[in-house]
Amino acid sequence: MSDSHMQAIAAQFRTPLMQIAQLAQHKPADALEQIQAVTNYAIKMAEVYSWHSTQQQLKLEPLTASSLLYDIAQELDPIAKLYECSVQVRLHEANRPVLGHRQTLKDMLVLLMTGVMQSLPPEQDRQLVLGAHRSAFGTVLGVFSESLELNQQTLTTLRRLRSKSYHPAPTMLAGHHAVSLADQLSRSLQAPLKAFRHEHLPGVGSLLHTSQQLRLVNA
Amino acid sequence: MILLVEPDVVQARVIRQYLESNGQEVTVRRTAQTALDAIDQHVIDLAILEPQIGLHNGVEFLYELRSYPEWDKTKVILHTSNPAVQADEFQQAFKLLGVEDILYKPQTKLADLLRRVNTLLKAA
Repeated sequence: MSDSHMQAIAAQFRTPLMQIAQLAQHKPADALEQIQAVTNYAIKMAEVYSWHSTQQQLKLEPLTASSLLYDIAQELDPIAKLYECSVQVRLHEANRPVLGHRQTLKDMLVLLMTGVMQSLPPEQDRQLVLGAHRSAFGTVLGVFSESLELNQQTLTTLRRLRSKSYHPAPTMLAGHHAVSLADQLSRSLQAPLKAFRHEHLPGVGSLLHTSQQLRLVNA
Repeated sequence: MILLVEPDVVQARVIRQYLESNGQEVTVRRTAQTALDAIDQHVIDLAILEPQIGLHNGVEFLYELRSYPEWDKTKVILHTSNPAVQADEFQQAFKLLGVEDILYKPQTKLADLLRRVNTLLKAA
């Protein structure tokens, strides 16, 4: 691992640790829930790095978007409170099962949504959509909002500058590290993050292919 | 009024709440441009600046700030999480740009930050 890569990883962990240090100083009893949310996020980042270093093969399985997204929304609740955002689950013709790895998909969408929340300026609308919709090639799962600072160009820049720069996303104020991790996870699912629209809302997500097994069963 | 320039939403909220609970009036901005707008709109007695601002770094912000005669004497404290700022070259550059003090997170406790803020505001 290069020095710049290690520096970039160290920088990513600096933010949640700084947040915990600040939260613990001012009304620590009130801040416990927030400290827990930040801690869980930092642990998730560590788990993703650990998993990547072992290069495990993912065993894909049929999943339903609705159960996955409602699960994720529940996991995001403490982080959403921390960043004063609201998360709505919206499903649009997303009944067909998709092929994926449940835990990796969950981690990917949690990190993506966390990165988006971190990037939002305080004055912007803080309503975010965790959406799934059918497309011609499968089902898109992603994060959508009018306030999104994340688009295809930002994703391209993130990928180009990954591990080479402390701040690889000049168009995002913050949250680029979490989005970069989500991007790496999406690639391990062979469903790289791309820009999509969900009910006219711009956003970023992954296209997952329909599970053929259950289609044959249902036929 | 104190201008807090901090890109991290959570840290900004904690610092603002702490300063306000100790009698200070605080406005928060996340970028160099919105920070300059705030200085234009309000009477800012002191700016607390995290130099690692996403779109512009803190040095660029300070250069721009000091280019306006009416803001040449605005007091600025750096409050940074970046250990690179400890390097001599950065220390000298920030002093030349009129930075009163450089405080490091998380070593500098909120109480220490408040103490420094109060000292500078009293000296004004």
